Amino acid sequence: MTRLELVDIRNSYILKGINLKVNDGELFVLLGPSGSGKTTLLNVISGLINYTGTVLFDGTPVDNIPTAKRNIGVVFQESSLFPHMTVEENIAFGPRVRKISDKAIKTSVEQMLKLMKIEHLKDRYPKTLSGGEKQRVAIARALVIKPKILLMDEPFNNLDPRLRKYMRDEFKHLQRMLHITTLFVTHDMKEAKELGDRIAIMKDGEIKQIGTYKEIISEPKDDEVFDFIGSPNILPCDSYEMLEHGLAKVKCGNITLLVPLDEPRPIQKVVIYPEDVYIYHNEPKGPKLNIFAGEVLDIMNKNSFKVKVTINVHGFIVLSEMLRDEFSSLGISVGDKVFVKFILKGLQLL
Amino acid sequence: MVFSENVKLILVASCILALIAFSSIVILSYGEFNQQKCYSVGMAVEFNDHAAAAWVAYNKSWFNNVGINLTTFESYATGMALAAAIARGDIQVAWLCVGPAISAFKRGINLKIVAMTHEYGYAIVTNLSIIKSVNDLEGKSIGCVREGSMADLLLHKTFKIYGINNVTILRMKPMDQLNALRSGQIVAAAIPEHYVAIARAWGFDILLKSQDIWLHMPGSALVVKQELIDKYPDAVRNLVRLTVNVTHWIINNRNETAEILASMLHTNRSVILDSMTRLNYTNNINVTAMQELADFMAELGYIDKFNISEMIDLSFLSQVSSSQKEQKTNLSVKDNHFGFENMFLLTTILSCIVTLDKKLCAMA
Amino acid sequence: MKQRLTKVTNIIPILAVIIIWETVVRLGFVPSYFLPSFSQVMCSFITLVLNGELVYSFYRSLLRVIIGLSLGVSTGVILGIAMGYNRIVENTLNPIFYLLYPIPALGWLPLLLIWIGISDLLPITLIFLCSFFPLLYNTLTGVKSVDKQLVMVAKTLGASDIQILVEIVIPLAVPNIFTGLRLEAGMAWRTVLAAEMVAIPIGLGALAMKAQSLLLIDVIIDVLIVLSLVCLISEKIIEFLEKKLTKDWL
Repeated sequence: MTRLELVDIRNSYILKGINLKVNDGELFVLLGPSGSGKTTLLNVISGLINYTGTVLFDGTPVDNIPTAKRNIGVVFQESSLFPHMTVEENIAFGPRVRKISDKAIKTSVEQMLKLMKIEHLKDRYPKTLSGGEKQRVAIARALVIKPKILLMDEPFNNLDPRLRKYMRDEFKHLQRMLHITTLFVTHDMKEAKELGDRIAIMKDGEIKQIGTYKEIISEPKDDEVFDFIGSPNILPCDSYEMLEHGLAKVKCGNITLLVPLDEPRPIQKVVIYPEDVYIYHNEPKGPKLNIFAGEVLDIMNKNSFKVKVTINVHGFIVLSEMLRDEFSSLGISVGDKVFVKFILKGLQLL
Repeated sequence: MVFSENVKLILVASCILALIAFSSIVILSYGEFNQQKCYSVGMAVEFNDHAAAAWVAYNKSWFNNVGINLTTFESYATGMALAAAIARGDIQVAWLCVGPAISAFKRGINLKIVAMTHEYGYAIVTNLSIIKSVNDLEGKSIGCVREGSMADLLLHKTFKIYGINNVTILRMKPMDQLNALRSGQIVAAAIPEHYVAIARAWGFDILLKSQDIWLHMPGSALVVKQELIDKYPDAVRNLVRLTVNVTHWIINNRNETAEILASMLHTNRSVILDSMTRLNYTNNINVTAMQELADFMAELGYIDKFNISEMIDLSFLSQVSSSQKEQKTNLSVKDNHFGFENMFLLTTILSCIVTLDKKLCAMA
Repeated sequence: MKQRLTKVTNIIPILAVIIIWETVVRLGFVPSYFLPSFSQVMCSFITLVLNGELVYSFYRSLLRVIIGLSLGVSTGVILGIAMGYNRIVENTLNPIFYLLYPIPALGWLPLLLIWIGISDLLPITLIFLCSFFPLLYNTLTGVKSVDKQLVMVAKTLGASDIQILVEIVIPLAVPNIFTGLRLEAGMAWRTVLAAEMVAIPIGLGALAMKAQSLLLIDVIIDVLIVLSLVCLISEKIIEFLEKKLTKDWL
C-alpha cells in the first residue's frame, strides 16, 4: 500500500510539468488521447526514461533508484509475455530474478494462477493463449512480485468489447481486493468511468483536470476537457419517483425521463452521451419511452464521419451524434421538427 | 609458208627452253604443292623446357612447314593438368611427361607415345646447409608436384632406395614449391627442369637428380591420340620427323634454343642453359625403361600393372629414321626464305630464255 | 501417409538420374574416363571406405570443420551479443567488421598461405572466417530484434542487465543464431574442401586433388557425394536442435 506523488515531472519531448497525487490503494485513471503523454508518464514512474522533477513513493524520492529496484508492476497493452517461457515460468520470472526461494516461488505462483483463474494454462506457451488469457497472465506476473504500485497501460485495448468489459470488471474486483495503488491508462471515457476512483484528463503532456467522474462530467474545466469526455448532455434533475423493476421517473425541467435505478439515492443530474440520443423524422412506433419532440437548431460536421446535430428539446439544448450515412437517410435540416429518443441504457445518474 | 633454217632453229630452241622452264617450275613447285595439305590439330605442352622441341618449332613456325595447322597451342603448369585437357578432347597432340601420359592411358584415353623428347630432367632441391644428405629428409616436410608426376615418382624412388618412411609431402606447383622453400615451409622440393635451374639461381642446391638414382629415367614424350593416328597418319609422321629434326637442331644450337625458351618461359637464358645440361635430349623410346616406370607406378598404387607396349607406337620413329638415312639434305626443316629462293631461280631462268630468244632473233 | 508418399516421390527423380547416368556411360555415349558409371563410382566408394583412405580423409576434414566452426560460431555469437547489447561496442567494432565482412573466406587464402603456411591451421582459420561474420551479424540482428517492451517488462520485474541478457535477449535471439548456423554448417564443409586443395596433405580436398592428378574421376565424384551428404546431415542436425529448442514457443 503506497502513496504515489509526482512533482513537476518534465521530459524533453512531451511532459510539461506534471503534478499528481495518487492515494494509497486508489485506482487512478489517466485518460487522454494518443500522444498526450500517458505512457511516457508511466515510463517515468517506472524509471525507464529520463526526466526532471521528483517521483515519490510514500513521500520518499525514488529518482535515483533504478527500475529493477522500484518494485513496480507493469502491464502493457501488448501483454509482453516472454514467448519462450510457459505461463508458469512467466509468472515465476519476477520472484526468480529476485532470488526468492524455490518453495516460496512455487507457492506464490500457484496463488496467482488461482487468483487469476488460469491454473489450467500453467504449462502453455503464450503463442497458444487467447488475448484475454494473455492479459490475465500479464496481470498475474505483475502482481506476483507484490509491487508497491501497479501501472496498467491500456491493457484491455486489444480485446473485443465484451471481453474487455469482463476483464475490466474482474480487474476492478481484484484491485479492490488487493488494495494495490494502481495507475490505469486509457483513452476510453467509459472505461475511465467504470474503473477510476479518480480520473486525470491529460492532453499535450499536461494534466487538464483531476477529479472523480462525476466532478469532471458535472464541471468540465474547459471546452477541451468537455470535448474530450464526449460532450455529454447534462440535464439537471428536479425530482424523481421510484418505480418497479429497477426503474425511476426523473423530472428534468419540462421533460420526464424513465431511468434505470436499482435503489433510491440522491440524483442531481442525468447524463446522456450524444451517441445515445437518437433522432427520428416521425414519431417512432412502439412504447413512448423517453421520446420527445424537438427542433433542429444546428447541424455540424455534415461531411465528416460523424455528424453532430443540436436539438431544442423542451428548452434543453441536446446534442446528438450519428454516422454520416444515418444522417443522410434521415434527411433533416435546420428548423425541422423531429422526435428525439434518449436510450434507456445510455442514461447515467449523477 | 616456207620458214628459213634460222627461223626453225629459233623455234626449236625456244621450245626447248620453254620446256626447261616449265619443268623447273614443276620441280620447284613440287615441295610447295606437297605442303598445301594441312592438318588441323590442337596441341599442348608443359610450361617447362622439357618440351623444348615444341617451343622451338612453335617459335619458328615450323609446324606449318610440315602441314600442321595448330588450332590451339596451350601450355599447362603440370603434366596432370595437360592430361586432363587431353581427356576433355581439346588436345590431340601433347608434349607430356611419361608418368601423366601413362595415367591418362590407364584411365581409358586412347593415346600413343610416338617419340621421346628427353631423358632425366627431374631433381630434389634443397638448402644443403640445412639438409646435408637425403636421409636428413626423414620427418620433414617436402614439396612435390601432384601424384603421378615424374617428380613424384623420383621422390618415391628416392624414399624407396634410401628407406625414408616418415615425411610430409605438400603438393604444390613448381614455382609455389620454390616460394615455400624460400619461406621455410618445406625443406626440399621435388621439381622438374627448368625449375631446378631456377632453384639453383635462387641459391638452392641439388640434393639429388634423376641421373643419380634412375638410369634412363624417361622424361617427356610426344603423345598423340589414337584417333589422329587412324585418321591422319601422315600428320603424325610429319610431327615425329619434325621432333627428330628439331631435337638435332636444339643439340647443335643450344644458345639460340636457350634464348627462345627463355623468352617463351619468361626466364633468362642462363637458367635454361643450366637446365639443358641435365636434360638428355633423345627421341628414342627405351621400352625397358618405360616398362620399369609403369611397374613402379603400379607398385605405388597409381595404376594397375600393364604392358607398356600397349601405349607405344614405334612405327613412326622407325619410318622417320629410315627415310632420313636415304635423304642427305634436310627437307623438312625449312626456313621462311624458301619461297623467295624458289622465285629467284625461276626469274633467272625466264630472263635467260628471253635474252637467248632475242639473240637468236637478232641472228636470224 | 502423405509424408511417406512425398519421401517416396522425392527419391524417384534421384533414381531416374542414376539410371540415365549408368545407361549413358554403359552405352558409350560418354567415355568412362570422362564420366565413370554410377556403379563404378559406387565400387570405388566401397574400395575407398574399406581401405580406410576415405574414412581417414573425412575424419581429418571433420576435425578441421568442428574446430573452425566452433571457434567461428562462438566468437561470432559472443561478439554479436556484445555489439547488439552495447552501443559503444557496436560503434567501435562495426566499422571494422563492415569492411572485412564482404571479403569471401577463400579470398583470404593467399594471405594466410604466407602468414600461416600449410598446416591444419590454414583450413581451420578459413572456416573460422567463413562462419564468424555471418554468425556475428545474425546474432546482432537477433539481439536487436528482441522486443524492447520485453526488456522493459523484465526490468520492472527486477531483472538486472545480465539477467535480462541471459534470460530474455539471448534465448530470443536463438532463432536468428540458428539461421546463421544452418547456413554456415554447409559453407564450412565447402570451405574446408577448397582449402584442402591447396597443398594440405590429408583431407577430402586433398583426396580430390590426388584423384584429379591421377585422373580418377570416380574418386572425385565419391568425394563430392561425401561432401553433399555431410552438408545435408549437418544442416539436418542443426534443424533438429533448433526445433528442439524453439518449437514450443516459436
